[in-house]
Amino acid sequence: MQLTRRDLLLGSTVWGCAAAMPSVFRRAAWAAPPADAAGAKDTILVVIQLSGGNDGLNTVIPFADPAYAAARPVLKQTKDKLVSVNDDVGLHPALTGFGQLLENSQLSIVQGVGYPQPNRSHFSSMDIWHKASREKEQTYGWLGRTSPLVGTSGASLFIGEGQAPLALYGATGHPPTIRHLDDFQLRVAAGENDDVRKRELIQQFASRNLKSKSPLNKLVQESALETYRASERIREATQNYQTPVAYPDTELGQRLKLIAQLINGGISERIFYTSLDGFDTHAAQLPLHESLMSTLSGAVAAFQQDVKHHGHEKRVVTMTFSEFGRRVKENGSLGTDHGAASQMFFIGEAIIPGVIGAHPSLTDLDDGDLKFHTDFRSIYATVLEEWLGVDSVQVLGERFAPVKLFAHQQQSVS
Amino acid sequence: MPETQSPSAAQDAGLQEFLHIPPELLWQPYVPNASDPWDAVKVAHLYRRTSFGASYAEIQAGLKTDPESLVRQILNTSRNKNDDDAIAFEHDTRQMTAMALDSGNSRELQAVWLYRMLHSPQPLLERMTLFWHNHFATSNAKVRNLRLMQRQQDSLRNHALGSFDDLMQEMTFDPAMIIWLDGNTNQKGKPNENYAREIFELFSLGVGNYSEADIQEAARALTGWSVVNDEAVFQSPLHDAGSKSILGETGRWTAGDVVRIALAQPACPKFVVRKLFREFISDSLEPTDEMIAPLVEEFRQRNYDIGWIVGRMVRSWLFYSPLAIGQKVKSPVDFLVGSVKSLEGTMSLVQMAETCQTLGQNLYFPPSVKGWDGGYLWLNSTTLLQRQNMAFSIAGNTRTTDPAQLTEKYNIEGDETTATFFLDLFLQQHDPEIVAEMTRYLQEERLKLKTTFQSDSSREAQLARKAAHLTMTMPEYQLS
Repeated sequence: MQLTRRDLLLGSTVWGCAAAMPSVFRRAAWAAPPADAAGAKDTILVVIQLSGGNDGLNTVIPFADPAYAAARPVLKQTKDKLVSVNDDVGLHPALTGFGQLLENSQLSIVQGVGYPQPNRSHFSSMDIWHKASREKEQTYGWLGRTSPLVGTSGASLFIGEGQAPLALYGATGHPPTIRHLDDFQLRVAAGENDDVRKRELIQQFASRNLKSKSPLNKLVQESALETYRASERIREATQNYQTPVAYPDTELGQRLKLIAQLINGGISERIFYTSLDGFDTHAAQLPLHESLMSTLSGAVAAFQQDVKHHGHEKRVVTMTFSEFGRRVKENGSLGTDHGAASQMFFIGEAIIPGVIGAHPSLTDLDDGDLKFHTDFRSIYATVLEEWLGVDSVQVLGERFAPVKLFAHQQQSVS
Repeated sequence: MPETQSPSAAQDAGLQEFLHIPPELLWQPYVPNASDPWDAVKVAHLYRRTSFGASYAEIQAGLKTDPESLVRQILNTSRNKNDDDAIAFEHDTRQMTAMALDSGNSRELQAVWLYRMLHSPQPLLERMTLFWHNHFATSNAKVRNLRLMQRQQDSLRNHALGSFDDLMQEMTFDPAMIIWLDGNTNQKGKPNENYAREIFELFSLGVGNYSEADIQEAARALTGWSVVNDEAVFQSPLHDAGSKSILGETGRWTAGDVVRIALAQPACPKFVVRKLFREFISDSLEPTDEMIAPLVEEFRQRNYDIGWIVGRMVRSWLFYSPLAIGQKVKSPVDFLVGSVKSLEGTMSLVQMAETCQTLGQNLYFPPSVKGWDGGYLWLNSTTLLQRQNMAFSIAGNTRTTDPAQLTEKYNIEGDETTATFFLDLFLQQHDPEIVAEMTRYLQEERLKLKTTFQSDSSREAQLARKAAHLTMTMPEYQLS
């Protein structure tokens, strides 16, 4: 028996309740679609959320603009140390892995991404990126709305700690969170023993008809049942995985490795989401940011290498975003405050490599912050249409002009 | 509305029916009657929300009193700073805290806090301290000073059931908070807006009740405070003494004024009442303004008296209705401390602290200034499985939380009685179908165990553990 959304939105009219209680882990059928079937796609999107507001200006650095050094007397990165991109911008010195990806034509830098009337609260701005909707009533995230359109393989997985973010929240609730493979088995007996009858009873008690009318109770029941099923699937998907690639020993590295394992295991999900935290560098930014850049670059480069080694490089594209960039002018505590526009990175063999769009002006500012020229929803629309193969208007509620991001877009135009 | 339509008349209808009850009736004190009696479900519910759960004996004792007496006892005990037991307990825990601080290990400090939750004679005070830790969420990940984190917790505890006004003032000048929100670097001429923003957004008003300009001005008012040698210090040369306009009030405001102005906003009592509603009534229903209106104005008139509003909530008809009972998801702390309390056992406190972290609630390290999201977000497939596996280790621990000790203590014999006992202990309900299934399972297991060489008492003990584990893995056990 499935709960309807109406059941879950208990008293939405009387209490004005917007807190839906989702079925947390209900998921699509197992088994990936055959890639060669007519109309079928097996492309995979990996999203890396940079939480806290990445200082985009010190990530892709407009070294040639004198306004840069003027705004960042202490925090500036000098040209000689940068990872070379072109005559205008260079990458933060710790982004060596990204430099390698760029040489291999596997990295795309989309500059000046943002949205109108930027919000500088972490939570509000992250919500805006997660929801990508102007409708106040919208409670689902953009990928949560995407999943059902992708079809039975459209379910997503969150790799990290805690609850999956709002971006993935949709009609079927939050997708599962995966941290490690080994703590994903239900224990019913000591040591190597099993207690088959107890295992059955646990599942049976979770699937019985409830007398209680509480949606929360039903929700936890469904979550429990789905958890037992998912654990079995994931065990099967990852049994025989091996890789020669040495991932950095960072949390992000291990998370991306887990994603590579799941992809290689043939798990049906096509949307994977993870995050790297700590970008809220209000003070003593230099060492913090360097370490974050190094973590990001190392993990993503290893992941891309691994994906290629296992022959999935044509199917996988990775994307990064942050809730906002940081203020152009550094603050008095060797850090930077919340800002607005910033860049997004795309990694993969299917993308158009290099720099897309100009770096925003450092002098024509919006309340001290960079102005965006590319709405992030245009980027989402492009990813939805050109990579996941779904109608972006159904997800975003309106048409956004696509950005030339994928190699096949160029071919089809010429 | 006709008089005959009392809230309890709606009890047997679906939850939807409850939503039409006028707000003032929802907050009337609950008075037991024949159709809505004072029972084990309600006693255990009160203990889960105002303590961290109850033992079998506490539930039985609670049934013999009435709701008003039990609520008064719980509130008075936790509000009485001169209670002999509380003073003695405070003395002991201070020593434990000092040792934990000397170790410099946050796990040790978490362990002491869990010890408080398990054993404090003032459990409501501990619950509220945890509630405020989540509200004024400060993480040692950035503060990196356990002494300051502990000092903040002591302040939270000191005002936990006092006035929210005092609590806000105290937190504004709290050293850990100043470090956490970059107050240290917020100086005249180069303001850092972090602190001002969170005071409005997360501590007092909520999004939409202030402007960006208010934040910039409040940040100026907050300048000059920093932490020197572990103390909050005001340095007037670093303070911007100019005139500021904050939420419509203009003057040469300082930090204290920011709090005063925030507390005077109509949005403030609403914001705090909503948060308390989520804590005490339901984390799955978002109340409308009309619903909480009967509490909001009086809360402000009573100078934000937290003890008063908590008392008002846990006495209410709403609190004992299906809109509240089982309408929260247990936090990791609720789950672990509650399980140990029900089993009248103990547990390695350091292990308990580690498990809290694994399950998503690393004390002294909330994930962001927003605190833990909580509610159904505590549960995902990983944490749910981990909770089930934790239930297995707790119910299977023969030394510290042995369910077999309980069956012995309360003279529980026979498979059906055992099944019923654990269902009543953990869930306060025993569906006959579940009892029958569980009894059949215990009988089958009894036969299997008879073929192995072991004593009668060892066999009975194993069966008790199996029954306890099965009950703790029922989905309902995740709810509070």
